[in-house]
Amino acid sequence: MNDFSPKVGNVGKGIVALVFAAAKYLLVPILILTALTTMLARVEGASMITDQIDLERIKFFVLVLGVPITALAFFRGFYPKGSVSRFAFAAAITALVCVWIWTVMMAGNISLELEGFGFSISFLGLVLLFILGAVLGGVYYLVEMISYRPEWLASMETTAAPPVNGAA
Amino acid sequence: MRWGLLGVRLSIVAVHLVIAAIIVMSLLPLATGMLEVSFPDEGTGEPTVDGNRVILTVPVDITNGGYFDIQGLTVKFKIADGTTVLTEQSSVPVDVLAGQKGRLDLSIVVDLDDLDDADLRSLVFNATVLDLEVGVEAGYSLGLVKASISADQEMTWEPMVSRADIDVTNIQWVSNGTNVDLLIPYHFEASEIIHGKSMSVQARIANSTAVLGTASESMTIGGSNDGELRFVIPQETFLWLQAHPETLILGADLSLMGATMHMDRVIETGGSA
Repeated sequence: MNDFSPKVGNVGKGIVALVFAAAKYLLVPILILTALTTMLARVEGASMITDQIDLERIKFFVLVLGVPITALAFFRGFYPKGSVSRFAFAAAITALVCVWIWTVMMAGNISLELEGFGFSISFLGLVLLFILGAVLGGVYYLVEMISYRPEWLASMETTAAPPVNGAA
Repeated sequence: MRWGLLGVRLSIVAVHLVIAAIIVMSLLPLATGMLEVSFPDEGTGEPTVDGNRVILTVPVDITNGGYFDIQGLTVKFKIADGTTVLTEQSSVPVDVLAGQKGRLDLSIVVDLDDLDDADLRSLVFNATVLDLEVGVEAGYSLGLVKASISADQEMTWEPMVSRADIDVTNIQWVSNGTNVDLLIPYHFEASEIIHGKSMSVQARIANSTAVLGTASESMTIGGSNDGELRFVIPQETFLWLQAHPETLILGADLSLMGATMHMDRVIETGGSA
């Protein structure tokens, strides 16, 4: 068996990881965006805001990026600690999450032009802090792999070793 | 204990706590009105004139009741007359520490020398509506957030010289011994900012064929200004005008600070004077 063999995984743990990722990167953001869209649709004159901040487009990107993140989260949860496969999926998720943060947070720049009034806010520093948090999440899985690797290798040897004659 | 994992996990928690704290501590003062930039009425004086520059001082009050310093706060003004930008000013960036109030005195200077003739004439002699764009830029939340707000509004500009008129219904012919002086009264009102300035009036009077006389006046401007244009008319011309109906054209140029306004008036003669 190698690190990517389906036989070393745990489906239950994979499903738990999938559910958490789906809630965090799909369901809750889409619920918030939908609520925001509905709320703005009811406010008179808010079309000037929705014309400039395309919430539907953001929702689309949440879906496009959230679905693969959720799918990959299953495999990250599925494979045990110390396996390269778990880290590989975690690294892929980290990269996607960074893109997700950048896209959903509109690259840290919001500009609105209303009647006789303009507003612009740049929060790139804050976005980079969020991305730092996500990258640290990736680092966590790297450290976890290194930390659990000897135990994982030992368990693999135990599983693969042929029975010794005369052993109890 | 896996110290490496614990360290990374604590780092992640710390980053998320910092993010949460920054967001809460940034939004709370905004929501409760603890951050404020206002333009108080008191202190905003009438415009003053220094040479050929019109100066308007605008105070800006900044209240920072938030938890972070406001960094590099800059106030910008742009005044335009249609598509012509009359002036664009920006204050020196200042920092307003958390819990402090500050005041910026921004001088808006319109250099009349920089304007073309039409715009200058419009500002000096005509009431007009100017476009005023005010912008405020600043950094907050340890420099992680930068915001800029701009607002456009219209600003009524009162003319420096108004109600300028030449009264051709009250002209006088006065003999000066050898010739005849033609006296034509004129009047204009001036805004306070140009009191004490000098204004000149150049005029000429002509019939269909020739210039009959010229007049030149210079005066120090007060609130309400009255004067007389004095044309020296030769005796024989005067007598000819008395005897013959004639349409005279009076052209006058009022000049102030490099701007000139031209006025034409018609004077009918022919036995009535």
